[in-house]
Amino acid sequence: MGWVSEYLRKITVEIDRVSASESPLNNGSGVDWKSVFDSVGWDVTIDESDTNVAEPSGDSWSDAEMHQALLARRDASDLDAEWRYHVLAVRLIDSTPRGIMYDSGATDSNNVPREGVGIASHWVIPNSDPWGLVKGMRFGTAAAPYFRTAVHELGHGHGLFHNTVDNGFMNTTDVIASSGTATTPFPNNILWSFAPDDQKRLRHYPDVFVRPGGTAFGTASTTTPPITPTDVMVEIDGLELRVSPWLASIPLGAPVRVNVELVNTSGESMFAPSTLGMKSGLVRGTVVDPSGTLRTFAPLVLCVEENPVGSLDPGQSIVDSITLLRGGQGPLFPSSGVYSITVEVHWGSGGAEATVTGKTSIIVTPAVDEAHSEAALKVLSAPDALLTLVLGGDHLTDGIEAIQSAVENPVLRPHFAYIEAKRLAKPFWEREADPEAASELIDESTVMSPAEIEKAARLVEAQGADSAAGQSIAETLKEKVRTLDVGDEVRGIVDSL
Amino acid sequence: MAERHPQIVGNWDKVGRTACDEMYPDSIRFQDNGLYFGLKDQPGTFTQWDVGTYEITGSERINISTANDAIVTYRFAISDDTLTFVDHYDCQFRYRRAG
Repeated sequence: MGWVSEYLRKITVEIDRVSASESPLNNGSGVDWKSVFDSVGWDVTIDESDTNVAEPSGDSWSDAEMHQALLARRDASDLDAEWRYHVLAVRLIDSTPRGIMYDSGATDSNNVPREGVGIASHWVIPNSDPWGLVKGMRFGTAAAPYFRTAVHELGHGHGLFHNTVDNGFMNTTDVIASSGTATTPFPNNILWSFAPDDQKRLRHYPDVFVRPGGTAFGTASTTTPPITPTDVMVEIDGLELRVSPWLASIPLGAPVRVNVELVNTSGESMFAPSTLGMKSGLVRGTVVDPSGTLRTFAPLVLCVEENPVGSLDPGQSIVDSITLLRGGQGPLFPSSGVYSITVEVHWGSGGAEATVTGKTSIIVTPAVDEAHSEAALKVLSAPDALLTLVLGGDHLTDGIEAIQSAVENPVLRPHFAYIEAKRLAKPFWEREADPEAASELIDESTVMSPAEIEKAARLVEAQGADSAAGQSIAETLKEKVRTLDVGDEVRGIVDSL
Repeated sequence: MAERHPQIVGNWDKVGRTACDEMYPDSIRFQDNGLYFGLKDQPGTFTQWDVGTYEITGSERINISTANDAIVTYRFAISDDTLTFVDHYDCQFRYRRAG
């Protein structure tokens, strides 16, 4: 089994001309139709065809005359067999100086849009700035801008709009010329490529947006449907996501606790998530391991609030912690080394998806001995370990067994003790809550993120801080908040126990 | 013959919205070098006047290059801080100078 072709799409570009006009074939410096379309994965066949197209009414053509010539002179037209575009080189064009994608709207008399474009070889480039090195030249003799215009117009034939993000093909000649400088005059400042977003469109737009005879010009959209998930995403200025590991290094097999803080760095109130917990459904991300392999993580369980977003005042922040162990591809930290973690927060905003991202890195240290290695392997190999971490309960026996193995290992115990304590502290079916067992697991060495400290404090509060177990846990938590940077809110909750 | 109309240079925001003017930008900037840049409020949305050239050819006529590179003549008028256009479908739409 293998690829049918190295190309994504295949087109034919037929070039017809009046006898006095040049065919736009290349830029005079090595860029031609093949190199242009190879860069976007399109297999292009150039059909240099008629060189003697008759001029119907003098040297200047109307859009309708060009469309008529398309219908009359093209070598073939079978959209079920090929995507054929038509380039007609004429001396002058009524409606524009240089070139036009005329096959649109009322001109498209056969209701098959975007099949043909026209280019004018006898437009004379003004003999003044900003026309740089081609001042005063007849357009057809200025290979670079002439060829560029042909590619540009054909880009409209593919459904592309003007694009001023760079001096690539879909920017306009006037804008590019006006951006020329003394050291890089026009046309040397032409960028001989499609802009990155146009490249994406040419590769991934639905066929109907790009093929001749598809949707009308002006109807292609990158958001309906989105051609890639990032098309409906909008990075939000003024909101910063600060991500930091709770511990800079962790032993192999341990979960990674990450603090996330969403800060309004702007001077005005902003619409932002009101929670950053994984269960909000707004948080996901990626982990890149030392070999460069990317793995993803996303919420397992959603607790959908009615209003997961709200107003965040200037300078205000939302903080939370997330615990990472496994993702869609398995364990997120399967070996020792340096890992890069990217956390993304997404929320709906005005029909698009707002997003902020933050990054951090951690070091996973190797197994210190065989017992550690075995315990780590057990946790890393147990898919239910993550479910047990998230859901608790007694039903996920494989996950519980893996976590208990980790708790019994002196290297991994501090990192899993709270997870097991949390499970035991809550009732499950016929098993009653066992706060005593939970309190035995939580001590000064137990690794707990600020969010976990807060949850433990609230659990103690709910179950009664007066009990021996409750007091033990409260004392441990109070010692932790005295020495750890957990934030004022969490410290306040713990101190009130 | 091109006429100079320095009053048109600057940033303009569309006033009101009707079905007939949907294809025209929600904001537009006319530069003194004869270039214009038009935008819809929703990024990436198609507009007939996205970027190109403008040339005032009479007291009430302006040529604007459009999204498929055709140059189209429109009727226009400037009055104080209001810019009014009428297209060939008799669609009238206005812009107010942006603050």
